Amino acid sequence: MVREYGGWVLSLLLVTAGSTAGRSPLSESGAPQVVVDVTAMKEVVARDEAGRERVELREASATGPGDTLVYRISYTNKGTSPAHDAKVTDPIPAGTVLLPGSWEAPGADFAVSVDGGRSWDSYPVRHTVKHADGSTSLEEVDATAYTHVRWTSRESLAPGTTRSAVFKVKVR
Amino acid sequence: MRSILRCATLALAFFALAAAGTGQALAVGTPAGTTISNQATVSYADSNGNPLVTLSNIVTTTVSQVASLTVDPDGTSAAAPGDLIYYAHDVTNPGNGNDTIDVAAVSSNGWATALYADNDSSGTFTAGDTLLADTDGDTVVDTGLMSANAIFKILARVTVPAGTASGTVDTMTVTGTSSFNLAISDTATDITTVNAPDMSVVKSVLPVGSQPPGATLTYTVVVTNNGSGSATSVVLTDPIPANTTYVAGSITLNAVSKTDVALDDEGDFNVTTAGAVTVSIGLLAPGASATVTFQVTIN
Repeated sequence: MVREYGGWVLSLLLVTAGSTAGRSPLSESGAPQVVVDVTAMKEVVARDEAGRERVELREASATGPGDTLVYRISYTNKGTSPAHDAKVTDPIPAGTVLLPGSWEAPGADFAVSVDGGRSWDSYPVRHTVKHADGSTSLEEVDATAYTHVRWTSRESLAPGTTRSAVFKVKVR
Repeated sequence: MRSILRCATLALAFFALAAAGTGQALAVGTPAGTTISNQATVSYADSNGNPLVTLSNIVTTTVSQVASLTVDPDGTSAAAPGDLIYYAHDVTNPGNGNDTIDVAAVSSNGWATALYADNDSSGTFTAGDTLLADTDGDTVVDTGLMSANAIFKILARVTVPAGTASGTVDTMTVTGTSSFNLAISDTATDITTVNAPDMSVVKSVLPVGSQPPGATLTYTVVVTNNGSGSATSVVLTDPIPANTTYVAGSITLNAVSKTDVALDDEGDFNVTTAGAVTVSIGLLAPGASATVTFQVTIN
């Protein structure tokens, strides 16, 4: 029974999404429809005319170990009613490491996961380390331990509103 | 039952350690050609609390090959003239793709150098070690094709020419250069300091001034090694002056009397060299000296 209900909801969503994308007249009840886009750029150190170093962003179709990639996630509510409890989740891509402190997302709370998105904590995650002498201490996990980042919007996303979230990773 | 439980606990602890070790290991460069892809998900709810999910586009970035290499460590050694000195180095490819690393060794004094593959990884020159070859035909010897993160052990040899002055310092620069990107190179330096003996001989006579016939003259000869390397098989030969007669049994070495016949001790007269005092001093360490005395009478 529950499963049937779930299936029904899913099909309704698909219909809703399709109708909005097709620019058909808005349904009277109104529905949120969030679209999300990710871009990747890489940081390149360049010099200006005075010889000063500055970081520029370039397209990132190709990269190399040690490069910093900047992911920008933009999400827009193209629907006709607010999207509530919007959460943006992004896995740290394989072959990269989250750069501490590199995230920004106005109006959202940032969280990280070290277990593939099953549980979430604020940054940094600490774990108990047992030492040879039997003592224990609470230490930050290695930067490579992070698997996912997530932003939770503090306020509902009104129709027509766009928000963005940024984080950086280092290519291993 | 109890022991089984303990075994299980131990096994778990072992795996936890292994996992921690892997996680903290220095990240190997992501292999060239790897695709780094990213896709974000937005979950939200409509006004009725129904959950909705949207997936983003997938953005992909391809990892290109980046050359990187190190030549380590630097070396220092003391050497004597004529020595062949071998310095062990690790040529490492921390890049993210295959690379053939050219290797060259240049001595600051223009001394002969040679590069060997340390085939048995002993860090010293052994019979199985072979000269590096030019495997890619660019006229420079190389490591051969190295996979990412591979280490190739080499020995760089410098030849200290015979007769090199004590205190001479040579810097051999061993340079590795990537064949994938010629702009990428690294060097190690091997500093060789030459310790050679440097002998001085000072001779004095007592009494000084003009002496009548029949007077006895005592000659003192001090042989000193002023160099920084040991002198071995040091032999002092001193012909007695004309118009004098050697006083039999008068040789001393470091205040110990020596006979005039050969082979029974370090000194002899008129045996090893006709008409001369000969003393085999032997080893003289840096800073050491030996004092030889003998007497003659004026004819």
